[in-house]
Amino acid sequence: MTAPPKQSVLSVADVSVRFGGLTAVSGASFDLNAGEICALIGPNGAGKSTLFNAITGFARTASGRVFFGASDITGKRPDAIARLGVRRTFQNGGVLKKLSALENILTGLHCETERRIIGNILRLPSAVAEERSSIARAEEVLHDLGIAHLRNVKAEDLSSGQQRLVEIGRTLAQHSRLILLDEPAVGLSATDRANLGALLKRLAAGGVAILLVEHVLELVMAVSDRIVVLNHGQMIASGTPEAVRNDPVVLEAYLGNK
Amino acid sequence: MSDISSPSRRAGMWAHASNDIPRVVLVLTIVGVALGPLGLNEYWRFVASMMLIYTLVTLGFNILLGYLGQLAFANVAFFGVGAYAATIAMNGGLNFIPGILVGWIGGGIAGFLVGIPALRIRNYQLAIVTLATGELLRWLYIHGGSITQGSSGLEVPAMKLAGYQITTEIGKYWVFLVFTVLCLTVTRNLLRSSVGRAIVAVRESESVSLGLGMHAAGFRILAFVWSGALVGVAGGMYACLLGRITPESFGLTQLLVHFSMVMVGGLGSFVGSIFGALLLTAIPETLRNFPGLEEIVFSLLLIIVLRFVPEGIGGFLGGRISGLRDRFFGGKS
Amino acid sequence: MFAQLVASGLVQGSIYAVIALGMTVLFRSTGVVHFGYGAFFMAGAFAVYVFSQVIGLAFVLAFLAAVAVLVLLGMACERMLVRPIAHGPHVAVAMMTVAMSYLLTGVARFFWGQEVLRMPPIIDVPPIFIGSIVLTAQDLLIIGGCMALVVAFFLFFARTKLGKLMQAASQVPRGAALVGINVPGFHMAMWGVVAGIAAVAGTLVAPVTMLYPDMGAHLLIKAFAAMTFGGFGNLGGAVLGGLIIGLAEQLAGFYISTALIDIFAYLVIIVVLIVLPNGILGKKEATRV
Repeated sequence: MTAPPKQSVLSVADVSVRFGGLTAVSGASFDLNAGEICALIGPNGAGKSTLFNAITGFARTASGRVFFGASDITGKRPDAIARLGVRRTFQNGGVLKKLSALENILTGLHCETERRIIGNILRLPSAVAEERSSIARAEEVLHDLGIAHLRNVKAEDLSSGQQRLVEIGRTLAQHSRLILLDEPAVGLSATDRANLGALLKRLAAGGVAILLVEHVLELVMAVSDRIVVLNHGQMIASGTPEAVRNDPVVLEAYLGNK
Repeated sequence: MSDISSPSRRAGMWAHASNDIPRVVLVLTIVGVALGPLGLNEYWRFVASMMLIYTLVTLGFNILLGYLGQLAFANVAFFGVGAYAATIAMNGGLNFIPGILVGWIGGGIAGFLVGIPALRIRNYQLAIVTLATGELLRWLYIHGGSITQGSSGLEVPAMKLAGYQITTEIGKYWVFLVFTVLCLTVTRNLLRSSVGRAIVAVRESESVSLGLGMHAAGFRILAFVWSGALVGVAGGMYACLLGRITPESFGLTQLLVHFSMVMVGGLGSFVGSIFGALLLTAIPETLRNFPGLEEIVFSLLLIIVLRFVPEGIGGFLGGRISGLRDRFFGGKS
Repeated sequence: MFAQLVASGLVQGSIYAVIALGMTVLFRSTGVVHFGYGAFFMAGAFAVYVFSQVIGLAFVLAFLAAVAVLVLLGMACERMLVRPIAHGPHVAVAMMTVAMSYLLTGVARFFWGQEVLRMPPIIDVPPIFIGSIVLTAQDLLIIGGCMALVVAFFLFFARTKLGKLMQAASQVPRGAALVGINVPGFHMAMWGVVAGIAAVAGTLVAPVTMLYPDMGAHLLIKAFAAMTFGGFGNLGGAVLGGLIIGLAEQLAGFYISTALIDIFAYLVIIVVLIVLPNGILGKKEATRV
């Protein structure tokens, strides 16, 4: 049997999130297939990051379900969801500041090395080999991102753009099937943005599904296969970049809020 | 000082860290550490053993204070539990090795028990709970009836190992040295592995660690258990070295000594922990002949370190030798 | 017997209440948890002893001198030890207060560690009988003095303009600068004020207990228990917690086991923090670490 051409990786079905009396996200629904890049856009406070948190287990859903592939991940703990192979970045920067760039990428490989306490403390050949291959993989990631020279620099000594890249690299290390990037282009130069766009395209071509929250519309329009627009927690539009760009409701939400 | 900007000099620090130090130096150090005390008198041999003990104590404390970044002041509690558990076991007829293992397990269990509330309680409140735990345990030693023999304390039987009785200071030193090196190696390996990175990640940001699939609570508990077990081993050795343990040995002054060693060595610095322990143990016992002098000297050291060199010795050495350098001060809190 | 226990419990409890109050005031106004506050109390008691028994000043003068010394000590600690590292992690400041505690205790032990120091009562009148309760004049002085301090602080924070301003400022650290408070000066003043409170408490207690260097460390844990019990950072809670701990300690000591008096506070801390981390009056107070 051949794999179906469009394999659903993430399915968000009628998800609502409430904080106290406030509804932050209400009835969001969309699907993301392998190899697709979907952008989540909307004005500040539209609920984009909240939806991210709901998908990755950091916020409780009030109703609705989230599926990762075939498994229902609604209400699971964030670390359990991450162990299934969902990786994310954080809006305010989730780079571990006191670790070097390389070490940061290595933490992205944590799930592959987690249950090896005995092997590690005795430095069994298997553990040493594993650490070597982790380092090799991490170096490869740094190389792909064009920051191999920053390998041993403490993350807090990196520029904010470099920190973003390291954080993105961390999500890539483990060949995840689904990556959620929260404002990855913040602090990046125009060149870096272009590089980032190319990288995302390359990843998607390799079958990774990418969900993106981003304010830099130029990047969004360039890379996305589909765009979901949120406003006040409601999904007001969803479609190809072309369709969304010309949607009057979207224009109104954006222009009306300016 | 900082060679951060020249990455090549520290290439491969994870996999080949020991290659940073030339082999010759390593061998000479080992020989020196093993045979050096032969040239010392009995008193300094005793001090050398004490240095080994405090090395483990400091490293254990540093795992919580530095690597996990928690103000957990239960170190003396672990130390006391290890000492009492090992002594009681050896009084029950166990040899040194199983006795030390009892101290190890006892310390680990104490670490676990303190670690559970530490999942919910942080910062100042954790500091207060752990201080209270230490004092509570001291009260238990005093009121423990025939088990702990109250304020007069417990006599520790002579060390028995593989059919021999070890009574000389140098004999004790060599036995302790083997155990210390074993514990240090194993702990170094752990802290340099993915586990050590995970503990630091949990300290830096719980959400990020969860997002990476780390079982944050599990690593917190692991750090507490590991810390307790290391310090428990040290407690067992301490009992054997002194030949008698009393509740007085596990009070607030002991805590000051441990705390100063960690801070002088540098938070989150493995090598710093060793240097901190060596230096401050070498501050001679004569201080103890003047009541209060020990507290004055150690607290002044602590103040100087906090005020002028918050990274401790590890701050000077860290970049060159240890993979996990100081990661505590200098960042946002 | 019960009434007598309640009376002694209140005497003890009011001491705990004042120390807990001093720590809470400092915490609320500067965000620092003062692990050396018990040692300040000890230093206050020793200062009164030195001024009245060693130097031979009249009691009132000795008392004033002790308060003055402690206020200066508190301000000096803030200026020389805390302020230089205040911009760093708050954990470092907490550690610094731990170091202060040991330094003061060490100094006291160095000079007076070997002998037992006794202070004569402040006023020498026969005990007072109220029904079946016996109270010494010193007991009454302690309760009265402590309650006066508590009331003074409440009035200060609730009624005076400066007090209200301070409370407002303590909520938002930058707010203090915005409303025109000289923040470093304000912090130094608060360190002085709470050190002064410690001196008053030390003076009141000195004639009852003998003086010993570790008296502060023991009291510190009780004060922490009181603060924890009443909800960390809550002024009223700290006072109430202190009184309750004093009472409960006496009752538990008599009806269960005298050995419990020593560890009652520790048990309270451990149980309360694990079961009710925000105390009995608790609503969530953010700590600054």
